[in-house]
Amino acid sequence: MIKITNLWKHFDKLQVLAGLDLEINTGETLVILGPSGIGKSVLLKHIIGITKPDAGEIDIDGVKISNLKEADLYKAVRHMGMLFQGGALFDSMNVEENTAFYLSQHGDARTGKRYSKKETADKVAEALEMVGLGGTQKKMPSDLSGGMRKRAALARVIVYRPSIVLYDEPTTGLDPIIAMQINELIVKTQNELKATSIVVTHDMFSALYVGDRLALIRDGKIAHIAEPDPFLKIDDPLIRFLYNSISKDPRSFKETTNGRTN
Amino acid sequence: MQVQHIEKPTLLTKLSTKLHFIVATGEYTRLIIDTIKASVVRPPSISLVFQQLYEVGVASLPVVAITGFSTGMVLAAQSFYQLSDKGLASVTGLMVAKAMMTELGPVLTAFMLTGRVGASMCAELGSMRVTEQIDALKTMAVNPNRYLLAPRFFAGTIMMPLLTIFSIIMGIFGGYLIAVYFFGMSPNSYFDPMPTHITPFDLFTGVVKGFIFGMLIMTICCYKGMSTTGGAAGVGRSTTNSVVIAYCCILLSNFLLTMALNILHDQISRLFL
Repeated sequence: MIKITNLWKHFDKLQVLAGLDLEINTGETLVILGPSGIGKSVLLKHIIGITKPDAGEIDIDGVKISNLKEADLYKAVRHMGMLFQGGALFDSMNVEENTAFYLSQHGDARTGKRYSKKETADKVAEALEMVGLGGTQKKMPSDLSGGMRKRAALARVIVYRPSIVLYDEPTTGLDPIIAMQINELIVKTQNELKATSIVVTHDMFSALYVGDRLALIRDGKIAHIAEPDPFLKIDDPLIRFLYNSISKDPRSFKETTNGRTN
Repeated sequence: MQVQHIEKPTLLTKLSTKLHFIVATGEYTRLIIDTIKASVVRPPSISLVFQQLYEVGVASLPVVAITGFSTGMVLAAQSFYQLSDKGLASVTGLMVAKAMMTELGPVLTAFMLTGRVGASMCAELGSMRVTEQIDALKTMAVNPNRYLLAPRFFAGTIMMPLLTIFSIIMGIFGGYLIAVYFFGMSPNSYFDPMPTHITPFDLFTGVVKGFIFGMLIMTICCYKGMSTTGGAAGVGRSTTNSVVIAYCCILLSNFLLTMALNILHDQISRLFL
């Protein structure tokens, strides 16, 4: 379980997080909604330890991430993975080297098992197949389209089977077809890894498609949090606006594509 | 976006915005200490170090050769023109060797390395910073200081003294070609004064300067790269700043090292002679 208590963070004169409390259950997919620039990505970066809070605490399965020294932090986040908004693939490495990076550094995230070159290449090929990028091992990130880069970045995360996966705006800037593919991949990854997932987005379609629970962030705090149906019934203009911005509830669509996603 | 304004910034916050130079110096020092600590706890991979040794050292050989060679030729030509009418043409070789060893070899090599390697490192790291690649390293439990900086620091401090020696040799060789084949000096008169007047301390001066300049170039350029903000424009700004700051630090530290090493030389001479 991830437990965030009274989290505060400011940048210059901007108070981004102001006493945020949040609990995320093991194995669930929590979607955090809110307009751009409200502090959603900052929250993710706190959870994975990249950013230090001004005050407050983040407890992940009994380990207080926010209080750890740097060396201990690197050990504590080994079982976590993050998909960045722009992919953040390493420019100097090809897709295969990018995907194999974690395995070459630490081995398997859950078991710590070290893999031979052959095993690593097989794992990489399997992860790339899973995201629909089989055969692209030797391509450089600059040769890939935006959607392919995001899928390659997802392969780089799922290859080491993390138990917590963080998604930062996974569908932002993508065309609807690629965005749908990414949504399906998130669900597929969730089904395969049984990981705890936190998805930050302002895309209500994506949120309803992948989320077990939805949360709205406002004024540096969680304003509402609930399962999809009760969440949509909350009388909040922003929730209504986000829901009205999509033409169809994706959950009905999800049922029709169930065979493909699972 | 809903924003709350912080009403009362602390005195420290106020000071830090006014005294950016002091804050940057603190961050720079901390980056170096963190990198050394991270490398001691778990040394960087040998393959990464070799990659950087090649990038900093071997790949810089042509540009350092040209710099040293042309400087040696110019020194020989100027020395000959300035000194021959005073009957001092025989010290041309000595002038070239002394100047290359103690000043021009290390300083010009450092300048070339800043332009060729330092700027490129700063731009690469800065670009990685603004595209979240450095954050991605952290999320994969890899310390960027150990993975990215330690091999660069190591390669710079090892290769810079070696490149300085190479530049000195090329300078003396360039000077020799001009003195002997253009001005008609005999090879003996070019080299003869050297064993008497060139001491191991002269070469030591060049090597120490190369070592210090190497450290300065790598640490300054890596720090500026790692602290880049503001997208592509920020990368450009950081790269320019890193080169300017590195040049200034090289020139200032060169003066301080010249003074310190000469005082040290005098002290040692008094003790043993």
